[in-house]
This record gives sequence, C-alpha cells and structure tokens, in this order.
Amino acid sequence: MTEKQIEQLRTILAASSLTEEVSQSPSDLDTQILQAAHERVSTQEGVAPFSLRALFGLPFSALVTVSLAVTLTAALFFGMSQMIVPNEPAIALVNNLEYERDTFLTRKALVKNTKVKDLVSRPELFSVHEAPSKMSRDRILMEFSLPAVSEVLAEGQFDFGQGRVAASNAIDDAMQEISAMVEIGTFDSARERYAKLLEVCDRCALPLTLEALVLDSTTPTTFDTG
Amino acid sequence: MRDRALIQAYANGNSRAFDELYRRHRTPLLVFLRRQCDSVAICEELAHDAWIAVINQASLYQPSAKFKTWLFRIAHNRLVDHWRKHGRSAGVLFEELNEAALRRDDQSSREFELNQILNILESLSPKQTEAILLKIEGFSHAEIADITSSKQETVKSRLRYATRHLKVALEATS
Repeated sequence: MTEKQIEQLRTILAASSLTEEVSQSPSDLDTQILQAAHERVSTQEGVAPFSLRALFGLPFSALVTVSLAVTLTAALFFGMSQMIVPNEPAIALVNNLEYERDTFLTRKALVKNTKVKDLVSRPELFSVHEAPSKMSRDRILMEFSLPAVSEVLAEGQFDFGQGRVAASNAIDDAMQEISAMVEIGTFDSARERYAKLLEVCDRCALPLTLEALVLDSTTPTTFDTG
Repeated sequence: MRDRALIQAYANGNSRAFDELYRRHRTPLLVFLRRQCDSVAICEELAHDAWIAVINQASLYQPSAKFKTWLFRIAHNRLVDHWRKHGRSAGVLFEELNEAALRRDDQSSREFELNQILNILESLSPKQTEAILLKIEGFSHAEIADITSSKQETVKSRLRYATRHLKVALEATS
C-alpha cells in the first residue's frame, strides 16, 4: 500500500461517523481524567514525608504505642548488637600453613597448654646431671648401695683383656675404699676417691660423679608407664 | 512543544502540560479503541484506565520512545486484558457498516467508499485490523511492533495481507 493510499484511507476514516461521534462525545470522561491528573500534581506538591504524615491525625494512645514500639525495637537491636561476636576475618593461607589465631583468648589457652605439657613431660625426679644440694647428694650415697664392680666394668670399653683386668682391679680397690668412706659418713672423701678413679681409669666410661654412678645402677633407664 | 517535553513537564508537576497532551491524543486513542471494542462504555473505560496509567507512571516515562507510542502501547495492553476476560468481539465496525447500509439508497459517494472500506476491514483478523489502524494513525512498522509486542516482520506480514485487500477495495471505489 502506498503512502497516497494510506492517506486516502486515513481521510475516509477520519470523516466517518464513528470519528465524529468520538470527537463530539460527552466530556464526562475528559473531566474525570483531567481532574485525576490535576489531583495527582497537587498531592505531590503538598505531600509530607511518610513518617510525619502517618503521625498526624493519630490519637494520643496510638502515638504512645508507636513510641513504645520504636523504643523497644531500638533496645532489642542494641541488646542483640552486644551479643554479636565479630567473625574471624578470612585470612588466606600462606604456603598452606594454618594462620595464627593470635587473639587474647587463644594466647591464654596456648600458655596453659604449654604449662600442662611441660608438667607431663617433666623428667625424673632426680637428675644426676643437675647439681643437687649437698644434703641431697649425701642422702643419695647413704640410701643407695654402690654398684658391683662387674656392673661398672660393663659400661667401659677396653682394647685388650689386660686393660680390662687392670681396670677391674682399680675399680675394685676404689669401690672398697669408697664404700668404707660412705659407711663412716665421709662423703667428701668418697667423692675425692672417685675422682682419682676417674683419672686412673679413663677408658672405663664412668659417670662424672659418684652420685651418678650410684643412681645409674639403681634407676631403670626407661620408665614403664604400663 | 513536543510530547516528550510535555510529559516530562507534567512529571515535574506542571498540570497544564498534561492538559495539552490530552487534547492532542484524546480522539485518536478513543477512535483506536472504539474500532476494536464492543461498546462506547467499554471503550471509554479502557481509555480512562490508559490515561490514569499515564498519570501514575509519568515519572517512569522513558524518552527513548515517543509518547504516543507509549500511550497506545498502554491502551493496547488494556484492550488485550479486556479481550482475555470477556473474549474478543467482532468490533464496532459492524455498527458503522450497518448504519452505512441503511443509508445506501440515498448515500453519497463518500459513504459508499466508507462502506467498501469497512467491508474489507470486517474481513480482516483482529490483529490485522489493529495493525492497519495503527498504520493509518501514523505509526511506523517498528512502533506498531512495539505497541503490539510483536516482531517487526510479523507486523509487516499482517499489513501486507490487510493492504492487499484494501488496495483492491480502494481501486474499485475510485
């Protein structure tokens, strides 16, 4: 269809009785629509914020109720905010290692754990390598018996049988003297004699102190925790 | 002042801008609806709803489309809603046709032309009728597609079929 034909059709339809009827129709519809349009504009101009508009015209009891509701809601939110524990921030793992949770509580717990572990893994009551008091050292010599010569020799390393025999004689002599000294309570003399034995028998692999020698032969080397 | 400026002025609170818009598009919209609905009352109700939608949604108007296209799309949607609820009628074309037929004895040549045209329009499907009415109203193919929520190719096809019949009728009367 050409534009000329469209125009022709338009003219015909525009001149039809229907078009005339519509254009001359009663103005009730026009009045309603135009009135609605004007009312909308005037409403927008005079509109107050919703919260204020809602409060106007409310009775006093309703206002009190609204105030109470707002106060309680605020209190509820405040209370809930106090219960919120901040989440631990997401920290990327470095080299796939666990990141340090360095907070006050975890640090305190770690210190406590360390103390417990130290207590559990504490070594035996007497440590021969530590330096006990003189009274303690004397008590060790009084309460524990001296080891047999064969036990002392078992710890040593000797190249030839002659060396072992010589060492055995030296140890035997020294242990007899030391035993006598311990019996009469001359503990320092016993220690001095043991020191001389150490000098003589350097291949005997003896403990550094007389107390250590006594305890080593008495205390089991391993604990059976059963 | 262009329609676009008027609707934006109304959205900003100028009620006189709406008066001018209404004056410009009142009759075309009513005619468009009147040719596709059963009665004057229904037609005016649909027009009323369409204009109220314009009033309420003036601030949402997008300047990318012509105001008239927007207005007719709203009206088309109201019309479709009406058809879904009450079924599609044969249209008011019958009434006009009958009036013309009654006056056939003493009709003028223009009335006879009108009679022929309306006969052709009567034989078209409602969608083809709507497309041709919108084309006569001055809308482009793209705008008709926008108003009727159709593809532009579909609109062209409807118009091609409708105009083929109308062309024959117009040539016969001329």
